[in-house]
Amino acid sequence: MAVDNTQTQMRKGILEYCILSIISQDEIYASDILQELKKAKLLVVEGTLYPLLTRLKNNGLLSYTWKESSSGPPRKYYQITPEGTAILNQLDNTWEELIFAVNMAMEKRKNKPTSENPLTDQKEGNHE
Amino acid sequence: MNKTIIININGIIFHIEEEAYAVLQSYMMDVKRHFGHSVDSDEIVNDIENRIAEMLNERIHQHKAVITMQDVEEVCSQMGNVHDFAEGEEASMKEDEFQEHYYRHERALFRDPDDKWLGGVCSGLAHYFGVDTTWVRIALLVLFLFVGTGILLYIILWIVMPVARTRSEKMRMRGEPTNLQNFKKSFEEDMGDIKRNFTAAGNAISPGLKHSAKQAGKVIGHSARVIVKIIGIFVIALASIGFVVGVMALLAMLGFIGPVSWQSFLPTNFISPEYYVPFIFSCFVVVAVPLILLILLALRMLSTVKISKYFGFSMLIIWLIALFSIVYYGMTIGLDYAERGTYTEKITLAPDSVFHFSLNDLTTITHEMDSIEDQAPLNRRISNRKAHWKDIRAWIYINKIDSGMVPSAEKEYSAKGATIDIALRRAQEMHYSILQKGEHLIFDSHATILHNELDRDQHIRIKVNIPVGTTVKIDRSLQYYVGNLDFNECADRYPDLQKPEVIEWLMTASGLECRLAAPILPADSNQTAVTKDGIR
Repeated sequence: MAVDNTQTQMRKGILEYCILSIISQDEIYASDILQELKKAKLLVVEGTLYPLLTRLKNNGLLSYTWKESSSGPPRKYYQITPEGTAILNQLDNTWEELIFAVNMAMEKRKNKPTSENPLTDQKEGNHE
Repeated sequence: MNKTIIININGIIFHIEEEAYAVLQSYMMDVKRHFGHSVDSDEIVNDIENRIAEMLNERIHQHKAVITMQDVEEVCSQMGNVHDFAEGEEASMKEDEFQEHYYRHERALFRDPDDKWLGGVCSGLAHYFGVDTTWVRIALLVLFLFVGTGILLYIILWIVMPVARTRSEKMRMRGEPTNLQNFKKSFEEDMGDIKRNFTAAGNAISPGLKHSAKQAGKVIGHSARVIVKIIGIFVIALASIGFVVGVMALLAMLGFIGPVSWQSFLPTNFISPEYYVPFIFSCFVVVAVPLILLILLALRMLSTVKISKYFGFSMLIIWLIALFSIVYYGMTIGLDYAERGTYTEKITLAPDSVFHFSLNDLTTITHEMDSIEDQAPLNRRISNRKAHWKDIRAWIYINKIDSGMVPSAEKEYSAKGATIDIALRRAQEMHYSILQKGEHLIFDSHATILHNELDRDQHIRIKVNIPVGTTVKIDRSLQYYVGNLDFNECADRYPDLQKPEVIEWLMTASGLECRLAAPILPADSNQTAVTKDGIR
């Protein structure tokens, strides 16, 4: 249970970052965002995506336009705003710092031969 | 073979199987409920709905025109369970739990096909009120004892309660998902109105106030619903009892139930047989239709039962027709009471120095049975042998004529009718007989009318003219039919405390006088005797 919660917290933290990151590449449709996230095994169900997108939009990081679709109803295409780009840059820095921090924390454990799954769980690393 | 329905999601038309629709609907309900309290709920729900429409659209092609259960299940699983949504939205977690808890009471009234004796009505009610099925069954069995109200209630509930067929309906029946959205929405609309009014008055309303108003509204709304439910159940119970009584009365009036004698006992003889059945039926409809509507209305308050507009309209029309016929027949009957006709028949009596008045009681049989069974009104009708006489009770007046004149009796019949002619005809068709056997004069207790004649306020009055100097003996049984004599005073003069079977009178110049002189008794003993009779 505690592990679940930690995992959820960790995912939640990087989910927004990933979404911003994906959108920053190109104007993109919600379900395509999902495809990417699924590929990355970060998100399983679409329903989670919409509240997030709405929140990011409300914070002014995203905007969207309606576009006609050849099959079906018009679609919302999301794009990043300048504000969003600024935030994304900040997050990039934060991410670099995080990677550094995690690597540092795991360095000693990597050299320990007894550990069976050294790289998957940060919690174990912290624990030891 | 499956029934399909047509739905419209964001402007796209889908043919969808009924069961699949129920699942989709309950899914969307869950989604709405999940986001119900976040600021952008509408937008998110719209996005999700749009996406569902798109995904469903992808599943439709030339050879597959209908959305099936499988499609819906796949789409829903791709969209994800609402509980998984929370992964991205921690803020809504608590609120969601609160809602879950709060709306748990909101259940839909369905019959439970999995737990039933007859139609699953009891178990459905038990789910609805969150009690054990056994208690509902006991309550209903108790109601059966009250003129079968339970049966009627059960039948009505059986008719109006839909059976929980699909999984989502069963879940709603158990109160798992909810549909209080409408109530909440209407409440918020009300609050919106209030807010607008305030704004119009130039007052800015703080979000805090709106919030607390919402909370207060929830509490008020909840207790109001409980009260409404209790009232609703009361209304249903009372209206059902009324309805059952109405049905019983109708059946009795039409002679379907009860002893045959009931029909003549019921005071319906003033209604012409020409329109007896429609009249009685109209009366029933006028009473029953509002009761039925009341029951349905109360049921609608309690559940999601819908009354079709056409049903309501046709009920109204039937009711109006019935009302009009009652008014029409009522006026017809009323007009038949317009005029009174009186017809007098005079017979001469064979002169005698003594007349003994006695009674030919047309209700003799009754009186004998009375002492055993105490059923006077019913048994009295058994004596409808020759004709039927109803309550046309004879009133006898004994008048004096000069001595030497021939004694006689005048029978004065009277009745009412639309015209004097009709009234007179009715009066003439009455029959009353006085039989003379020597000194014995035997008076019928009642006048008779033809069996097919209507009650039209018929009366019979007999004037017996007795010459001065004649002794008149009157049987005790007859004294209640004589209108102008004080029997008590005379009876008290008889020595034994028992009431005399026959009282003797003498016709004098000043009218009938008691044959016995007033006994010389102490005043107080006389007093007690009078009191005793007075009590009777």
